[in-house]
Amino acid sequence: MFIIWKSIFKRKTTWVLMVLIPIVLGIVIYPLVKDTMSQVSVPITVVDQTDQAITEELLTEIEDRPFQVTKMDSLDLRLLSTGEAEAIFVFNDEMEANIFSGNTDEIVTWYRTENSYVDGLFKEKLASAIMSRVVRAEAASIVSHYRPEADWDEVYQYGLKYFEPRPIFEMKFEQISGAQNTSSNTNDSENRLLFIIMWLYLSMLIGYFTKILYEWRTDGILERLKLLQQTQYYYWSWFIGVLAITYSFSFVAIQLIEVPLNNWAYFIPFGTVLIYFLFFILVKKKWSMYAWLISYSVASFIIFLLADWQIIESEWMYLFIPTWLLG
Amino acid sequence: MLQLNNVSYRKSKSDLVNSVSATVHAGDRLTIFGPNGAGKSTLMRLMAGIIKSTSGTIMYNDSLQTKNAIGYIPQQLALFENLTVKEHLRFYQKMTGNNSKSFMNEMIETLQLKDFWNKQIDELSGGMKRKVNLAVGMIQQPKIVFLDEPFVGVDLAAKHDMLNWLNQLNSRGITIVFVTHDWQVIRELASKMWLMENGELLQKTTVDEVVEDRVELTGVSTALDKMVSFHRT
Repeated sequence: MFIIWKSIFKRKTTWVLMVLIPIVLGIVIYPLVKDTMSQVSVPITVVDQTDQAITEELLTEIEDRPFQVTKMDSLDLRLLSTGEAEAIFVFNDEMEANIFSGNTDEIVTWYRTENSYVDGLFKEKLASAIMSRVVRAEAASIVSHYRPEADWDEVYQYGLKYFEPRPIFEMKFEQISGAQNTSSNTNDSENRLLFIIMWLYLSMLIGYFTKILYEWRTDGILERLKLLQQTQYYYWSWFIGVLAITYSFSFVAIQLIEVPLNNWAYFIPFGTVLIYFLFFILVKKKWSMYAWLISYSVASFIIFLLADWQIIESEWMYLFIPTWLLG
Repeated sequence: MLQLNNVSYRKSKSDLVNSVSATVHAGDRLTIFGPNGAGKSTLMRLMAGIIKSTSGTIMYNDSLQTKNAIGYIPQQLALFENLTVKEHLRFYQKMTGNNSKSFMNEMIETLQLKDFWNKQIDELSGGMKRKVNLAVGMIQQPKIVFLDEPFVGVDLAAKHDMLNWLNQLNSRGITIVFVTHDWQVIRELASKMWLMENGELLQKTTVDEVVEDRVELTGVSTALDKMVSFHRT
């Protein structure tokens, strides 16, 4: 049956659909994903002209989403006006020495604009990280003063144990698990939109392969194969081949889109190929099949979005295959 | 060789083939003749085993119950547009397991396929496509072959090659059953003739009887009467 697939891949349309369209979609979709990702990250620039060791240590401790920290060795305030940086933090050239000596005066200069909103959180994290080091250094200095045999570095390492400041008041803290944070929620929603676009593409691709099957039926090729082979092997060959192509595309697309998957999501490509195959068996005329499948695909697209926005929530929506992602 | 007993085929509440009883003998050269929509192609597809009758039975003798004993050449060009002549013949040869080089060479020689061996089907003329369609349908060396309008769009030279080869095969014992409206083909290839109309087999006769006006047509429409009489012109 290899030769049958060879005949399919000798068609120019096959390559347009399998190579050109994914590239075009990738060019459109990838920037969209990147844009969405950048919308939920906060660009921060840190300037350290003397490249102090403590800078890397501090950034490692606080570098986390949503901050996207860029380290530079000179101050460039244009980054603020162009929006490339939400805020710029310039570390004093003597910052490391000042921290170890307990001197916290003007060790960091904070630049921001009237449009900077969420950089305050980074400032808090940075201040917290610096203060813990200042406290540890102070603890190490005090301990070393009263017990000269104590090693300063060792005390600094465990300084907080020696000199844990007592909190002014204690707040009861309970963590709620399972809650989604708003930025990741927006992100998932965007990714699900990309997913349904990908499904529409796959639907079109499977429709194309089904069209070829219709042509073979109209041309009498299937009858000839049936007569000579006395089996339905060629149907299985088509089904497995199309399934393999669909799963390969889905795998690559899901890697790019990073859409969260549930167990049912893995059956979406299978279900889509199966429904096309059933349409092929049940609907004898090619154009009737197209009418049915275009209606089904458009309905699936709309139902998926409505379900994703929680406008509808009903068992019947799972008749539309893409909604299995939401199940 | 093949016996039809009250065979009917019903689809969408209409009888495409209605209670046909007849026998095809080994070595027959039979044409099924009748106006469009008479049920000729459906009857051939029933005999070839491509579709199942809704009532009645079709009995095959032992020689037809072996694999690849039945060949069928459909009216449509059942060919992959993007494959070459070589790829087609090799593919079907492998599928049917008939590795006879002499038969393949004879077929290529008689149908003059050699010059087009590496051409894709979509690069061939209509007549050449018909030849390849015939070659593919015959590749397994069947005991009986059913041909549905095999000469449509074929020029005289190509028709001559095809008829010549089919007559050669028949002389070696291959039974030929075909449908055509072409009287030249009927005269050169057929000896027996079944006249069909509205799904019914009206008369079993011979080409000679029809040509010599010895056949008495009763209960046939003007269309069929005209078609049968056409050979006189």
